[in-house]
Amino acid sequence: MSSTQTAPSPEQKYKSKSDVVIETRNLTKTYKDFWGRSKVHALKALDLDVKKGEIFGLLGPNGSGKSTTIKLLLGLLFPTGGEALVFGSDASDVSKNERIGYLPEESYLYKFLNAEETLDFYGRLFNMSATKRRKRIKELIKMIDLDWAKKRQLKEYSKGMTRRIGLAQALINDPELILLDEPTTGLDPIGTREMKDLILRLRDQGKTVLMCSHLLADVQDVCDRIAILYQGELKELGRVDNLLSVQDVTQIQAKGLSDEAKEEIQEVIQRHSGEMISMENPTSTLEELFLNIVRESEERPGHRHIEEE
Amino acid sequence: MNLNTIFARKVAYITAIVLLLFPLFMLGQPATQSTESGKSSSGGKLAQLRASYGLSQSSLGEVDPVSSSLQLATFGMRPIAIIVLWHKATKYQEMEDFDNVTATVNQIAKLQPHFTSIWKFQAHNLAYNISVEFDDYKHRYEWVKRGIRFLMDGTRYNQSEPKLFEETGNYIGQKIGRSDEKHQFRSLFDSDAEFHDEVLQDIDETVLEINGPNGNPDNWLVSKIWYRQGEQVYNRGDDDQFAGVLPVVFFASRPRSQIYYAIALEEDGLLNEVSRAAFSQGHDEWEEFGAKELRIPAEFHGQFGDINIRMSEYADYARQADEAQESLFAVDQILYDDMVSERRLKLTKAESHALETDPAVRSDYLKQLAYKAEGQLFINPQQYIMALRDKVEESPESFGGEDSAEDTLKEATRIAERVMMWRAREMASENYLGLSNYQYWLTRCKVEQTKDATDARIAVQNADRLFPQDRLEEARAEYEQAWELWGKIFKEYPELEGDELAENLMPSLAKYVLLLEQYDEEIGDDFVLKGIIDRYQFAPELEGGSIQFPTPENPDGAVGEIPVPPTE
Amino acid sequence: MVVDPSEFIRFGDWFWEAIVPFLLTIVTLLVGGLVFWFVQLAVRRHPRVAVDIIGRTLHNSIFRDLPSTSLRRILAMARLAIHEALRSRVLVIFAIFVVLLLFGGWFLDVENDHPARLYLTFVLSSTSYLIIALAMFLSAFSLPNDIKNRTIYTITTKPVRSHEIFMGRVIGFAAVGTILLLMMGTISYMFVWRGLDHTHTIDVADLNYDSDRKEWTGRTSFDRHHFHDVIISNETKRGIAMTSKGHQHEITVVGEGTDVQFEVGPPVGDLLARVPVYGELSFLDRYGNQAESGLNVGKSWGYRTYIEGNTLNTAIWKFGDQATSQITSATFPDEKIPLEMDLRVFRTNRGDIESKIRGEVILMSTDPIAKVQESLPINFEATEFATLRMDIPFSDVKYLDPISAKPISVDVFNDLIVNGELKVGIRCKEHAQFFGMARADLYLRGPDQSFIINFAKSYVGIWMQMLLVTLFGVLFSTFLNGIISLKATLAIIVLGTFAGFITAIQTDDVSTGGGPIEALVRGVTQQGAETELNVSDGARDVIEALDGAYLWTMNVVSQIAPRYPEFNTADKVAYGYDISMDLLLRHLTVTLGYFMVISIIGTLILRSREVAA
Repeated sequence: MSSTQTAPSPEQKYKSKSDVVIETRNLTKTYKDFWGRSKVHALKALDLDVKKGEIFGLLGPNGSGKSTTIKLLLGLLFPTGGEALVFGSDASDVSKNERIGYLPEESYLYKFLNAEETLDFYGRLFNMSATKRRKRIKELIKMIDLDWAKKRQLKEYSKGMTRRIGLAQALINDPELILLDEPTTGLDPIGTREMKDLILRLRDQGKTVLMCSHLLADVQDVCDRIAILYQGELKELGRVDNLLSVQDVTQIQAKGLSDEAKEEIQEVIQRHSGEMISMENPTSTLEELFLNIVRESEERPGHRHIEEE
Repeated sequence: MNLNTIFARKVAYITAIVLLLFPLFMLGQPATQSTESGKSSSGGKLAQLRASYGLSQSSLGEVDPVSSSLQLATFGMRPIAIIVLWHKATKYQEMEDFDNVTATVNQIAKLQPHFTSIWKFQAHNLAYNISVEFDDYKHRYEWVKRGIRFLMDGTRYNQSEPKLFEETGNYIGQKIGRSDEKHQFRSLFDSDAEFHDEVLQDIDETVLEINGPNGNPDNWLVSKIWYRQGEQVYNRGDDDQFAGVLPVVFFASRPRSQIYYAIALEEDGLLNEVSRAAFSQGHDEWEEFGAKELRIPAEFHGQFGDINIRMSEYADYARQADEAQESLFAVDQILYDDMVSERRLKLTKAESHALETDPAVRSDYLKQLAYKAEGQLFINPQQYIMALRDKVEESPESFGGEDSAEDTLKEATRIAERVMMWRAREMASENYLGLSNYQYWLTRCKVEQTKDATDARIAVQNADRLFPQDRLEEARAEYEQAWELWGKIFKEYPELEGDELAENLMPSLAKYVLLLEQYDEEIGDDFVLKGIIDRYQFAPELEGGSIQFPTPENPDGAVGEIPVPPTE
Repeated sequence: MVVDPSEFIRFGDWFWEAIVPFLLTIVTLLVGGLVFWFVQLAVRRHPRVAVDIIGRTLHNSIFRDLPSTSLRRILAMARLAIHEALRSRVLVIFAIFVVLLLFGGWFLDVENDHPARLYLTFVLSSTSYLIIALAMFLSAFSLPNDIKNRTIYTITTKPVRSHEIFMGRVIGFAAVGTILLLMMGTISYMFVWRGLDHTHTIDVADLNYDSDRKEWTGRTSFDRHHFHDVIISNETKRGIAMTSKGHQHEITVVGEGTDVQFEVGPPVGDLLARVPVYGELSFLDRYGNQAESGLNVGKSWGYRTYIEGNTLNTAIWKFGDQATSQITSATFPDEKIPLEMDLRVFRTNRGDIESKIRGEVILMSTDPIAKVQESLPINFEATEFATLRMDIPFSDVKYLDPISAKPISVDVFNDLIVNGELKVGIRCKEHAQFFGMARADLYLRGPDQSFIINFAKSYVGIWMQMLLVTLFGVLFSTFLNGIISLKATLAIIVLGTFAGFITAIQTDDVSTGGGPIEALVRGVTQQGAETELNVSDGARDVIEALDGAYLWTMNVVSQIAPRYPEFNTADKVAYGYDISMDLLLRHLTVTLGYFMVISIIGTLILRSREVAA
């Protein structure tokens, strides 16, 4: 697997430039110490495009640069090099936030507010009118199913509840782009499932989702495309199904084939001087892929050439 | 973490706090004295330590919640707070914001209530420095009162500091009774019933008479009870606390207040048996003071340890010392004579000549020489003992054998010590007599009780009144009668000539001179009070208003001399 | 009361004088800040990038963020700040204040001559200390806490602009402070009022009745550490308890004959707001020539100068500036000149202890061709440390007719006051005695203002101090952590408070043994501040250079810091003088200036800061 080819995207409508929601060009972030000496290269020359309507996953172990990427995109950090464009304008432009929802890694909310007050506060930050806020808050609280606890201060909330309210605040403005930082951490299996369903539902509503996670299962389940980051470098990029299929192995699984048919198939294989093991097209697990990248990077550190489309 | 563990923790914390508080309580428990049950405890270890170093608040004086809470409120930054407050107080004073000066000074005192210097310094500041900034004497009086009040507060916090009590007495007496505004101050004090309550509130009034002839408390008499309080504190306490102040100064205050009281009565024009009785009492108290046993700190005479003396026994001390000295030299008269003649040989010719001259006809120079020579001939006990010791060692046989010689030396040493001891007492009491001006006051009291003195004063008073009414003849007669009486008194008690009593006659004498001028006469050389007139020159009379304005036309030319206020 | 000379400057004059240095400072600060920013970015990245970033930030801030400012967002941030403040128990401050007032009585000097001043100073100063401390803590910790708790992530990823965050915080904390101030002000007023309110009783047996004049005289009962001398007329059935402890009481007579009783009213005159009209002070020397100032009688405080008695030494106040405050007949509604003065008396000899020093007032014209150049002197006796009110009825103003040499009444508005100007001269009449005065010691007293309004104005002063502290606190918290920004805020308060002193040290007007390094050297080597520093020449140069740089920095910072003490108008309230609108406007302008500048700086810092770093 020296190089990865990705199949052309089935949805050709994303081809035009206006369809690109997030674009990073050579995005680099280096943390410096007090004297200005480079200390940590958190992100090295990242090139990414996230298109409208897709769920894009950033995958990588802790410290691989996925959170940094999100923070750079949000303007919470400033790039050391390159640029990050959201909706075509620079990440430092505040007006883009009108169309963005962000769920941070942990829900950094004011613990002394209750659910309603929290949402009301963030609603005000979007300059929403009182009636609009009321309506939206009602919807969101219903959606996250916290109606029973909406008058309680957040400090009394459990982790899962906090997470849900965090999600609600990210959606308060009905954003076009949603950035989710580790959306499922701290959630129980049911919560995780619900979160995933919600993400898919959002995509179905036409929203773009950028999520990062170190949990492979999450990404595998919901993401259309993923980028795998390791030590600040982009290692893999592509559609999940493509990334996971082993290209020189074909797995055929069929039902109701007659013996002749099977023989026929075997013949065909032999004709092509292949050996029939079993007739299926296997998928490697994301975990395998991931470990592979880690192994490879350790052997040959450096930027990996990625071809997309 | 469930509720149980939280609760368990709380219980544990509380238990720990209580356990830690217990030893603190044991250590810090204050000393208590219950008069009802008769039980008393010396308190915890800290209290005992404080008591033994004299630092315990309850032993120092009143502990009040304001002071304590103020100290607490500074969170251990008390020294800084105090520095800032001092700075502020000085600045307010400079900017003549005296309301704030008092407020700030009070805060300082509350922060350091047991530091007596603050009470003394700031009381002085209020009563002496700030009061004179005010033009209206009534305002001044208020500030003097403020100083006194401040000191009285100080005594409440420091009930074992005799100096503060003495100082309070001093302000009530001297500041009110002896300043420029004494007449005004005394009369204000006389009618200040509210202030009387304040100055007497801690005092058992029955001990001493405090009321003047008009039935109101008199500042001098009130000052006496404060001095008396100080004396009681002094007698109660240990001696060390009073380092730096001489007992003779301290104990003179009260009887002198009585004398000043008598003088004040005279000045108020009360020249009768009342003032005489006051002087009589002053005399008695002054004598009592003379007979009081006073301590002389060791550093004052440089020998032995502290010694106690009575000033009244000065003559006795001198006699005892002389007698002992005589008996010392009598141990070996020959040795003494030898020593004297040996020294006599060392004198210069001029010195010998001076000694030989009759003291009555010695010139100043000769007097000086003679004094020096006498000093050289004087043999003090130590010198004598040293000479005797040499002699004993060299020729014991002249004492009838070694044992006898040793005995003689021992006996002589014993006598010498006695000489020195009496001599020390003599010197110290002489010193104290000088410091307290003892003899002058005693004589003064004696004189003022005589009818002559009263008559003389009445005559002066009459004359001073008659003169401005142009009743010159009568005035002259009165003056001359007075001068005759005063002359008699000064002849009898010449030591009074050099003092206040005489000086106070000067304004009247000046008027007398003016009176004589009306007759084209002058004071003759044979005038009975010529000595006093020579001693105190006339103060230049200040003449205001006889000057013309300098005018723009004549800017420098003020007509006449620009008068200069009299210099002190 | 001591009035700083700068307070006589009218707002308009002050404004035009202050605006230029203000703008210069701003420009210097901005240019300096931009240079610093550029250098920092250029070193870290590239000069070109630096220009790009700075340009974009400025452009976006001015042309995109500013127009999209939303009041709702600012108020949301402010509400959050209030919520946060309440949660951190700011009401404790109020509780402390109440406790302070409860026990405050203990600390107040009951014997003081002017209890009203003491009470007022106490409440006003404790209020301002508490509020400033509160503002400092609230403002210095809030943003750093947001950054520490990362709640800032959820804020800055919303369309909130940096200036909205900044102003929201400031407004929120200011609102908290304002509410607290309102509560404290109300309670304070009640405390002062209750503390001063009292009455006395008068027993007819204690009074002397003068049957000729039909008057009682005597004194009231002794309450609250004082009594009053009283004069009560049996004709008008009214009387007055004369000034003591800074106030009077009105007395009414009830009953007749043997049943006569006296009702004593509440204290009057201790809580008031006099409106002084100040003049310009000049002097004539003892020969009547123009003089620079009065004489120095040897006091170290040069605020007042003195005139010598029985000479032509005169202090002259000129009232009625042509441009602004002409004297018209409306200035003297009751046909009398309402003079009030507080002169100092300095005696070079004791004189007559019981009588006061006499002086005279001479009314003069400013116009050399006016009919009356100088009125005949009107006598008075100087009361020191107690304001002397002299209402001079027009009928008492006379002048010596040059022809008949007889005193003739003056038509004040036609003969004396020209162009709305009047001069008032003061002379001391007694030889070798002196009067001392400063410009504010003599004034025309206008109709009084309401005390409560004046009291409220003083709270506005405290409010502005609080706002300034908050501004600096929030400013520092945009780039420093909590503790450090607290210290920085405190440093600004200290530097602003002692700015004059610091300048004096830097310019060597105050010799204090050098700067910190020299002081350290002196401390270690035990050399007193008054001796020459005993080190080698080289070492001295180094020390002086370091100290010089340090002191220069201190001085510069202290020049930028607001002069907090100037906002403190407690003295005026305490002494019963109206806080003039001119002064209040000036303070408000300064505050507004700081608000704008600091908001801009804070916004830029917040914008250029990586909140997630």
